[in-house]
Amino acid sequence: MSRHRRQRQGRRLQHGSASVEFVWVTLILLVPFVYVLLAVFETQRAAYAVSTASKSAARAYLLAPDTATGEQRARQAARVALEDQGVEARVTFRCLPSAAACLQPGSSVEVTVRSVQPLPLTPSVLGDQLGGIAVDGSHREPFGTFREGR
Amino acid sequence: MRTRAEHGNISVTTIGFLVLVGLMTVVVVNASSAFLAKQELNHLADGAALSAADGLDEAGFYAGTDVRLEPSRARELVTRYLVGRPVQVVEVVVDADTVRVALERDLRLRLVPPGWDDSTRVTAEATSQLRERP
Repeated sequence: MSRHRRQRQGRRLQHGSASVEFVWVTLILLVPFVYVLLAVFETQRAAYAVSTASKSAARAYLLAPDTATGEQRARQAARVALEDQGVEARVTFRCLPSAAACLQPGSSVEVTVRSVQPLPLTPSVLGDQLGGIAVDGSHREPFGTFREGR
Repeated sequence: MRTRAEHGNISVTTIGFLVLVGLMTVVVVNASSAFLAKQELNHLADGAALSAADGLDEAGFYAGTDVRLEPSRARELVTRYLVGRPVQVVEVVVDADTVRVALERDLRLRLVPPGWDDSTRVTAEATSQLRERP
């Protein structure tokens, strides 16, 4: 076989297949990869939101003049933090050591923020429960012992 | 010779390219997971420092001295606040009415290419002060 002929054959073998292969391999590997990436970032976003929300809610609660205002302000603070990240979550409060000890010397308040982050691009037709990732954050903040109760 | 050099499969290039993208993703995901751990640890340190500021040296205070914190009591309060949390207390330093709490935590990274070290450490520090209301 002459050198020219070999060259020509080699060139013919390369015709056409590269872009098709590239598209297929990219589709098969890249699409799931991007999807997983989106899911991971959604989860991290939610984790950031619940963590910040629980901390700010606890702080707001302790700075309030009474428990009713405290709860209201805490919910407001949590909502601001959650809205920043576009996350919906359930906020619960618990006073320690007992429920009656809210804003009393020696007590502390624990705020738990819980959210279920849906997987990206899941159609709502299939229901809310489809493959959500539960993310929660809780923060306990002491009121202080040497101060007047409210 | 030139034609032989061009022989080959584009899949290899594509997969190599995807591996590269994957490695960059690992860096980003790990960095943000470390950031989240750091933020959580910061919040814990804040709470621990606030708890520690309750460790007033009561005997001294009622004997008429200024507000002073008792180091052993502050340390105990920090330990009690952190019960059940996977963190280590690096130091609890009391300086008169101010307490500084430093915490650290070993973090296992989620995505690690085989053969790479999967653990890292995050630290956080917070200061709190107990003051007498004038």
